[in-house]
Amino acid sequence: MRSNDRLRTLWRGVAGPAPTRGVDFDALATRISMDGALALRARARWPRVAVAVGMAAVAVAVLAVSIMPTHRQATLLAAVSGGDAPAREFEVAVVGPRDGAWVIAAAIGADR
Amino acid sequence: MEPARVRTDLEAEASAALVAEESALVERVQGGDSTAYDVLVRRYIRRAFTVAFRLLGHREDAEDLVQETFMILLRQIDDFELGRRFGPWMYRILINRGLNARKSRALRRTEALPDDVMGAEAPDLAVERAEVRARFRSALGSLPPRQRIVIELIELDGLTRVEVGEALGISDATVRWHVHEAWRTLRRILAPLVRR
Repeated sequence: MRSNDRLRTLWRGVAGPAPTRGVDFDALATRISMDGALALRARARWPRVAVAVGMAAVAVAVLAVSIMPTHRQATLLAAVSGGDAPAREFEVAVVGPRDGAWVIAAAIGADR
Repeated sequence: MEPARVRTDLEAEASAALVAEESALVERVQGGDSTAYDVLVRRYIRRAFTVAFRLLGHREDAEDLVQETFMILLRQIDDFELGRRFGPWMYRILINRGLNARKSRALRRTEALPDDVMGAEAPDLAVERAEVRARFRSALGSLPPRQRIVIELIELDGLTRVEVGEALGISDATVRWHVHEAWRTLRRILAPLVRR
């Protein structure tokens, strides 16, 4: 391992330590710590935010169910196929490009 | 008691105390304590930078890698096994990210060593040193990335084989094999330097 020793000496002589001169470690550490503090704060807030979002979603769902009409409105498709025609309001159901074009034409006629 | 035995016992005690202290710090970070995180960052930032620089060879890239590593550590802090040393865990993430970055990123040119490392020396000596340095750089470039980081951490940064093994998540036998293979390659390529 003699040649290792010789090479090692040469290597250490020219490689030197990683150049730390000019690196502001204090500023770098402060920047990392500040980012970390923000991340930790967000982490601590996350469960509360999740609960709030969950509660809001449940409230919206309850409201939507409560205002949902109890009987089905007559639809244009039903009118076309022999059911009740809507007075003023109607729906347009697009089944496919060709059927969609046909349904829109029928909707204009029913509205008049 | 034999002096060597006493020293080993003292080292083991110091290591156990360090593990306990760092586990307590990590536990505080897991609970959201940013002061404890700051302590860990400041304790390891210089060593992390040294390894990052070895991997990337560029100061700004090394700083970015250190910053990225500490943010990953924070995201994965709940995975840290209390009772283990923080350093190897940090090095493992740093080295894996660094090796990936080196592969995927088109790195800026490797930074030349600054004057404080080169020193003020006679021009002919400086030229010779530059030549030796270039030969080493070229020889190291021919090593597989993991082998290169193993040999550099041990020979230049003074990490022990155990520390390197823990950092890279490889066994002591694998570290020894990497060291052996790296030296074999370096000896072969740099033989003319030794014969001078």
